[in-house]
Amino acid sequence: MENFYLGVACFLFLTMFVGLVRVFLGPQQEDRLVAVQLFGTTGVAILLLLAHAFDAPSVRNAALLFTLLAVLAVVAFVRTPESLDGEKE
Amino acid sequence: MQVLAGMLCLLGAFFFMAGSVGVIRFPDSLSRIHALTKADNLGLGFIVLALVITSQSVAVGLKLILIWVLALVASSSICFFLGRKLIRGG
Amino acid sequence: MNLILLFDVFLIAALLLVSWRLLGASDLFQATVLFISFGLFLSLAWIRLGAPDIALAEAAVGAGLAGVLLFGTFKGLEPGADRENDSFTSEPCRLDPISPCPGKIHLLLAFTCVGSLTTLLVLAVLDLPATGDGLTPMVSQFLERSGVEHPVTAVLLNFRFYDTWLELGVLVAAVLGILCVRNRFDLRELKVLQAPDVMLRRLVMGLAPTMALVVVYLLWLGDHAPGGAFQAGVVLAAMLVLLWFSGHASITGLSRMLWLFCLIAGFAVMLLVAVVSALWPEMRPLEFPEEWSAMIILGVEVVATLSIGVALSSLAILSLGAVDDPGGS
Repeated sequence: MENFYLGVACFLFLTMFVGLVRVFLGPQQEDRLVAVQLFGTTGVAILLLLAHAFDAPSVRNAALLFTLLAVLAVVAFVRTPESLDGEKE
Repeated sequence: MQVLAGMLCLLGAFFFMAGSVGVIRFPDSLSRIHALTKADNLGLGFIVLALVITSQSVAVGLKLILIWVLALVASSSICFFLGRKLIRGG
Repeated sequence: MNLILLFDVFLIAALLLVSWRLLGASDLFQATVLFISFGLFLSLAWIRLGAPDIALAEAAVGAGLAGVLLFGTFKGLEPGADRENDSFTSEPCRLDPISPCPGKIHLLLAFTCVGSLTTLLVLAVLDLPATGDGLTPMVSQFLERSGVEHPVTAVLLNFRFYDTWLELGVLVAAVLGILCVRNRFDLRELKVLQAPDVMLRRLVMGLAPTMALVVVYLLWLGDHAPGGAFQAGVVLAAMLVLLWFSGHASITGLSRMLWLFCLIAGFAVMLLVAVVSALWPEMRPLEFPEEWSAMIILGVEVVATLSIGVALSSLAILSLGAVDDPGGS
């Protein structure tokens, strides 16, 4: 069962690579941020799987912190003044 | 139970894949946002469910569910903020 | 066993790819976003290296505060309206558009410095003993006498107390530095530029209590498991920044004295411990009596969490807040 969880984690890592392409491509700032949020959730899933596979509870706390603080960067992005706007295309 | 957990895990992984493909393939920013949350939360949801039914203690299960609920709250509000910014900013 | 190897290979590939793209990114925003995802991969790497304490800290800093600080810096670097955006991205040396591009001599100098530093680091790593557990046996031998059960906390707050003490000093110095740069005396007149909106207020109203709970949980965890003052402080800082963003009461509401008090409390308490233990007869500086050490560590941790939280959130607020309306847009 441990190997199965690891296999799923590896597969999720592959989907993260796919998502990375969107960060590189853009074209808008929002697109890049959305892709990073996708990483965040995928990373949480990977952490949970690792925690389960190795029976390491502290890894679960790292996942908890990721979900708890995921909003922060986006809020900072949305709430900063207009000079951030207008992606050059 | 193990088999069920395995199937749920695979289902979750499928939704993560769907999310990634959506983020790559959808034509414009707004639909990409859509791809992200729906698929992502279902994916995490199924994986959390699989881990909950195989977890040894109730406390661990509750923590996993808390993580999932937080992820739901976080990504739906993130998408709301980004979507609104996209629409207003043109 | 092979799967874990595959996972590690993926992880290393992702770290290298992201850092390469981060340095080569054509615009700063992309670099900022990549840096946030770099934090995620790094946290996974710390987990794989068996250092969950650092992974927790990296998760909290990388996922939350680094993004806030970087967006603030990004805003400062790109003044916006009065400069046309296109010239900005096409510049090869884009960090500071006013100064001239670095010449060959600068690059040569930079490469020499980085190269020699890398060589030194490689030599240092090669110099490490190939086998052996370093200081681990010594720490576990004295763990009983430290007052806590988790070896990392024992090292940070007992065996190497001065280390944590100086780190708190660094945080205070960082806040003082940014106060000088922004020409401010306190946080009270710093505001978010946009009016607070309902959605964000409600969201933060739900999230903030959870965050407060996690702060206490991490603090409690530090006694016997990975966790502790720094991780808890970072979550506290994130909570304060979110409260500030959404227009709730936050540290910007504190009077200047109270704010300064919270800022230096951690450093001051540790200084107090140092002075008292130095003046105490039959004890060396920074040595505490065994029966008191659990209490001392707990007290110092609580105060240090407060100070770390206030210092980090002050950094974020100082870098993002604005005093007056920017005429630009």
